[in-house]
Amino acid sequence: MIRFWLVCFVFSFALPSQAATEDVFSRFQDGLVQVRILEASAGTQAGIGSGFFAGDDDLIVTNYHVVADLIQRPDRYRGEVVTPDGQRASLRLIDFDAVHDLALVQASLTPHRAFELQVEPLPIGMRLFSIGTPLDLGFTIVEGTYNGLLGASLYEKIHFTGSINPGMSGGPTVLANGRVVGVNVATAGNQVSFLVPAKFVQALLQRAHGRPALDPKAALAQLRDQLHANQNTYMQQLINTPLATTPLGNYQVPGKLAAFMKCWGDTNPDSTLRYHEVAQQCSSEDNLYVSRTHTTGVVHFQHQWLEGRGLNRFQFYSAYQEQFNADYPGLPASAEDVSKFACHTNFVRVNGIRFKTALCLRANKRLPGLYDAVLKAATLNENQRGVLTTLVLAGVSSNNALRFSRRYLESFRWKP
Amino acid sequence: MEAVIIAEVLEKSGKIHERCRLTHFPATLGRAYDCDLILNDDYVSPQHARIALNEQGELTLTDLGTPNGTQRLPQMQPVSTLTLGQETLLRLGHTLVRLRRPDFAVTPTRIDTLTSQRFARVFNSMATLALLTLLLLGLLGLNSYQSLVQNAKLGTMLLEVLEIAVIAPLWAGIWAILSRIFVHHASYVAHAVIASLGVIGFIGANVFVEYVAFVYSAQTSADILFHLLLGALACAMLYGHLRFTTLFSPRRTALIAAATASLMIGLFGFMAYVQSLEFNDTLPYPPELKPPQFQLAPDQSLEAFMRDAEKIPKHLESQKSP
Repeated sequence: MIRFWLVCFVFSFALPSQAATEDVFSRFQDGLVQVRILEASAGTQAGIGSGFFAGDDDLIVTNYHVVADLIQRPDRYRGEVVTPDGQRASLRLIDFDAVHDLALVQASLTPHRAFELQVEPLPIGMRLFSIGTPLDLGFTIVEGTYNGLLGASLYEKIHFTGSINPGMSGGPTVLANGRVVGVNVATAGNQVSFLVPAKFVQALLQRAHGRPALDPKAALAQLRDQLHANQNTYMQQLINTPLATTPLGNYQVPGKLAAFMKCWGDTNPDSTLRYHEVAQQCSSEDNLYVSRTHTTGVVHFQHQWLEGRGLNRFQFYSAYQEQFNADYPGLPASAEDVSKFACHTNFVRVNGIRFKTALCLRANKRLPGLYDAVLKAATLNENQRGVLTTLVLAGVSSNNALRFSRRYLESFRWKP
Repeated sequence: MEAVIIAEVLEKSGKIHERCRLTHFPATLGRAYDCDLILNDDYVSPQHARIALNEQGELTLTDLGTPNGTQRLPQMQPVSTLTLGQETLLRLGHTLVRLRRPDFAVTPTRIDTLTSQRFARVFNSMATLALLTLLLLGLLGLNSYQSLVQNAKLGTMLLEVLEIAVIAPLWAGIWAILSRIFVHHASYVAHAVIASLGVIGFIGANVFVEYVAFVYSAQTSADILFHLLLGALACAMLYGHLRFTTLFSPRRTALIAAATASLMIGLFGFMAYVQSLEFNDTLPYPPELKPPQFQLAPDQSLEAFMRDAEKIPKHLESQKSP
């Protein structure tokens, strides 16, 4: 008899986990919507994402990148919301947080349900359910696990082990009780996905309470302000913290500057080259989506130490020059997003090191006051050895670019 | 002394079609086959004009009452009888006839610049060509060697040299053909010498500008300097080639060479300008790096550098298109 109850007891754990996924979906799907971006003239679909009702004001939460076209090209695109039961309505943009990739829109629809937010911390391993509209296939649910906040990230994100697909962006990831833990934002493939923590949704909802629709000009100005304030935060931190350095050849060069940067290094394996090369690079991994053609926010630098093997000085400098002029890591942007680069070049002496230095800036056309900066420098102390360095800052103020470039070069040391 | 007159039938361009010496007078000019000067022109009468000695012993020309008459050029005065001077230009029918006396003064001898002058001899000498070829090959080899950073065989280096070894003789050959056509003298060696000098000049200009760009850390000035040097080089080469291809005076040749070179450089400059207007994400800094001994511009302090760099945003602002 006891064995019977033991078996029942054991099975009682198995059955609810099967029921929970279907249960969650059936209970909560009516709080979901599909967000569509349409070309204004032809009405053809240009982009798609998910969204969900939350808060008291019939507001729909989605990602900023899902509705970015409405801010960047309001003349070309319009937005639409579609419910699971087929209702459609055009949407108005109410507010957004571009740094955390969130947006609030409103449509003339009465929600059947508004999700509640789970802002309190959770234990790692909790089961989560990600809901959305993947690849235009209707509404679906994906089960996964909560893996806590990302360690080396500039922006707080939740690591979710589950397969989020494109189209699910902007949808909620919830606990079994329907409370939203985070908003689907990105995936790295292989069941590694990212969520925007619910606390940022809460902050946005509180801020947007009672606001009217944003007109495109005000939206663009707000985007600029958010990006400007954001770069100030991490750039000030970089500028005001003494730079960590690491050895490279007979030089000390900037190393891992902050927890949000990932670094790696290598030497050249090509034995037919008559010079020896050691390379190092560090990069922040977080990009900010600005528009279809433009992502920004990266902080990246790389060093190459070159030493000639049996070359005369002209031959070494021929190789040195070629490496100096290799492409810098890409900053994807179109002619509508940014201007061309303009540079200032000169020979600079710092800490007994002579650098040929070029500092280049280009302006963001739609967001005045933000620039992309590329600093290239080559040491010119020896006939057979030297260090080439490149620093890339995307979407920063010119003041921050210059000040940090200065601190960057000042941190180099040389042992002859 | 016997009276002699030289009669020349001219083409419209002034070239002499035929020339004959009239020594027995009276002499007749006309279309008939019993004339002393037979003119092949339907507008000329069979017996059109007569040249005879008058009582004073002077030679005179008389129109023989022809329907189309005889006109004196350049004023086209109708002629019945006129006395022949040193030179008389006449129109009979549609034919131009020039009558000159034997004591007519001819222009001084023109110097043949293709073969006789000293510079022509130097340019045409095989020794000059051999010397320049050696120099050119040496420079190309040196250039190649200085960029050699991979373990490569001699063959790779020679490959770059081979391009010039094919193009330069071809270029000289084209000019030689043109020279043959226009002045009946190919002067191939001279053209080859000019071509070699041109390539040497080009290599020199390249290296020079590279070092200037590095030494003074100045990209725009280096570009302008390079275009000017190229222009001067093109002008000099054209001048040399044209002197062996045409019979123009040195001054005229120089003007043509300068005008053509300016046009070419202007065209390149314009094309470069149009391209610079297009959007790109390249970094416009002078890319040259040379061994440290070649730096002549003084070092700047980092502070001063950053102060100068502050001008960049303003510069970008002013460049904004509406």
